Amino acid sequence: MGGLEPSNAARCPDCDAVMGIPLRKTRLCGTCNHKARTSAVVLTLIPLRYMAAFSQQTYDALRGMAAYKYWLISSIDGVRPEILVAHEMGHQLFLPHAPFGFNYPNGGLNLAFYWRWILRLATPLVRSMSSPVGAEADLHETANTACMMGYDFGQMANLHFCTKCILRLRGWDVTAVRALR
Amino acid sequence: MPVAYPPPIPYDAYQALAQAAPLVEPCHHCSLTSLGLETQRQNPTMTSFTGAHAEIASGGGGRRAIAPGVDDAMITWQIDNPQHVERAVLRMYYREGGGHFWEKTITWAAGQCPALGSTPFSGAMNDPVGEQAAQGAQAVAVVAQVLTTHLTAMVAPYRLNLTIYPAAGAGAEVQERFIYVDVVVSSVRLFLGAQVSITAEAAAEHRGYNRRNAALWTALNQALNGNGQELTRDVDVVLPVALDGNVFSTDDADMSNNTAVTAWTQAWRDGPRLPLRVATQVRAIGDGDVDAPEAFRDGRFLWDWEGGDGNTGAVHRLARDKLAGYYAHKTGEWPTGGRNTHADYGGKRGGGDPLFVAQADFPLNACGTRAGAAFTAANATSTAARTTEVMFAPSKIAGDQYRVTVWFAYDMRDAWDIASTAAAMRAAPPFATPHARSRPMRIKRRVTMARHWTLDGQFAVSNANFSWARVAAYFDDAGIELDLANVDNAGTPVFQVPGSAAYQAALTDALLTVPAGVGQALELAQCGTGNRTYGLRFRDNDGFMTHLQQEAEDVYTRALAYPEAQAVLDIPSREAVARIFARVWAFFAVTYSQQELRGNVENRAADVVEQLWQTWASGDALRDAALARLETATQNLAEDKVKGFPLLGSARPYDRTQNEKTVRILVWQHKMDADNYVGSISEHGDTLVRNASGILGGGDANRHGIHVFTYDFADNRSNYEASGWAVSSPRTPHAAPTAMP
Repeated sequence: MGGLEPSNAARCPDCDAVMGIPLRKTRLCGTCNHKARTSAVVLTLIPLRYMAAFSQQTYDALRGMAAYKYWLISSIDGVRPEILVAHEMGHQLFLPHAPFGFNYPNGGLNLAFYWRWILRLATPLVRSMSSPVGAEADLHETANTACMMGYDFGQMANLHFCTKCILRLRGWDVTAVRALR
Repeated sequence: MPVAYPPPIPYDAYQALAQAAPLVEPCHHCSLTSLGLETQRQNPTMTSFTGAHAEIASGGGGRRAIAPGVDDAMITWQIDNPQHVERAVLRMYYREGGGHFWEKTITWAAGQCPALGSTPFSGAMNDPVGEQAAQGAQAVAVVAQVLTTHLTAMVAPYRLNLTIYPAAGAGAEVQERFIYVDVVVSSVRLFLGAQVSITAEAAAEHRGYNRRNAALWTALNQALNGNGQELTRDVDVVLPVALDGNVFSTDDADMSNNTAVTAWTQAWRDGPRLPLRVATQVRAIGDGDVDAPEAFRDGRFLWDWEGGDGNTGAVHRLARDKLAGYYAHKTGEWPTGGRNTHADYGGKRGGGDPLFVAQADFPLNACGTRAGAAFTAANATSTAARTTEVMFAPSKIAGDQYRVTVWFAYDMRDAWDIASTAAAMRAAPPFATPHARSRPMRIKRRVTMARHWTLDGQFAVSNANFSWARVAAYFDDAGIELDLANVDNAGTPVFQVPGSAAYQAALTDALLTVPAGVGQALELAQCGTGNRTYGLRFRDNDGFMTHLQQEAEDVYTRALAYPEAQAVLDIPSREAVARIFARVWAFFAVTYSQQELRGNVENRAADVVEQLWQTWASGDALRDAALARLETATQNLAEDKVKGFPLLGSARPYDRTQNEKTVRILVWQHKMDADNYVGSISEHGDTLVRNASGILGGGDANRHGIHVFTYDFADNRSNYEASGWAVSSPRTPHAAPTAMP
């Protein structure tokens, strides 16, 4: 994650006062002291079409692009373009990464194509090195690696917001959620 | 078993009748033979009593309902030998003993008392003019302890006695009869109330809360349009209470601290406010039910509630059981709240902020024993359509669910203020009074997908296979409802960046935030154009070096031609200045961000050279001044490294090799060399595209929600990932920097 700047409203989203340029920079309304945070941006750095279950046709279409990214991601069982968008939206909705790195996918038919890449990712070293930046173990369910906010691509087909993510998205207090076991 | 409503009437609930005087042997007899409350002047059709009787069930003989203030009824009676009666007195009694509180005395001239007597009666206790009459009467006088202006439902049924008084010398065989008068609440209906301002609109700090509540009310009002705003129709269909959930993180730390809750609390305080109103009717003396606000003077309503199941059943199977376990927290506290979020976690089950807040004109008293419940008073000056109102204040936790039951809380308050669940109350209320139970109202957090942006021509490759509905499904578990009105699934248009020129303008703006060298690496004119419309297209490392060198040479050539230099300097001196100029330019072009240079590398280089120019005539002083100036301008660069560059002092003509070496050293120092080039531009490229997106989203000012941008990139930038970024917009502060560092 990069540093984040607050939202873009020209008028305070709370009291509708005009926010001048200095205020736009700090995003704190000078009239009501409200911090503007009602707008956000999510980027996906790949055409969503390519985040799909592998097919020979996809491979044939993409091989000329010399882009492993397409090959790799389209080879993982359960891949869906919506996952990337949901994960990033999770960040905007205050969810940190879950501490789960790459894992070996749960089988699949396309080993011939991706074994070189996937097997390499399956080592414990890579798994630990691929642990997402800024992960907060206490804010995710310990035993559930299929959290949407992690990087466990072996669980792609099962990815979902884990219990603690759900609770925080619903509005539970973070200190209380952190203490849940 | 609950007591029936209206309740059965035992004889001894009312003050005992005065012992009738022993009947002497008068020579003339009169006798009160019947008494009734009728729709018109007629022989009484109802049972009346002269003494102790068996308990009278609801609907039994001897009691009749009236709608106070609405019905135009008649109290009628019959007297045998009425000519011996000189006056009759009606007296109204409360239950539970006590004397009468109203009496009406009717006097007749001698011999004028009619056999069929009557007097108008509307249930009013305040002696309305129209009721100051009786059949054949000489005088009618009312004496009332006006505790209330009308009979009311809260204390009904009443006992109405009629006593006749014979003239002197006459006697009465039956002197007194009584009947019972009911005021029966026949229906209680629950509606979404009218929109009201939650707090003083004028105060700036309240406006956002008011606005959000107003928007919520509008949405609910629309959702209930088909049901006439009534909350009891489609009774098992969940009514979403979707709170404006466009509250986003603005900093990485927000994800670990409690900013989510504090920001959410700033937006919604202890929760939304939903005005609820109750409409009632009472049984009319004739057929049917009528609005009768006066019946509810001093009326009391109980606002009862029950929670949901934590909405855990539908979540992903891998999260379901654990989630249900977390919700099973202190379930012994406020069991009526079910699995709603406990106050320990930010909810309202178990205490904390109230669930019901008073509406103007309808005083509220929280229950002392009954968890979270409250009583509100009726207001007889309101219309019958709003007999009572309350502001429902559920939690702001998505997934919490509420059903509100409003009861006509007849009789004593303590009978209702008991520790039990809403279900237990329904099973065994103190009185089986009318009540209304709302649909389940489930709190949701509504997040707006503001726009889905793609570059021109990229739509065809970006959205196929993608479904916003599936994104929404992921968030459904969390009680988040995505507003997808502004985006569409594959196959229908999405919002596009309006042309490559607009996109390149945003990129140009975004370049202010990255090192100038990234700008040299970027092929700006190729970005967002062409068949694949890559978001960013960078030069490869060789191309970057060639471009940089060429640019430096162009600067050199332009500097040579400066008229100012030509006017005052000989050729070798001009070449030296131009050389310095080109090298300073190269230094800035690679090392500084364009923002620090206020966007124009060449102008900043000129500033520096101008400083040098002024010391030109002093020989060696030139070098020292130039170095000093460069050191000041570069700050972060160690002095020895700057001195290590052959930037100044050479008397040789322009030396391309030497110049290129200078550029390469600078490039190396700033990690734009061949080994680091891809990583460096990839990193800065992320910043660049985030900022460009922020600028485009920011240009869409006040379109709140999440702007989603989808890009592809030329393969020489990144071949490793399907990355995403979450940022807030705009990344770029709109104020220009004020000075060189």
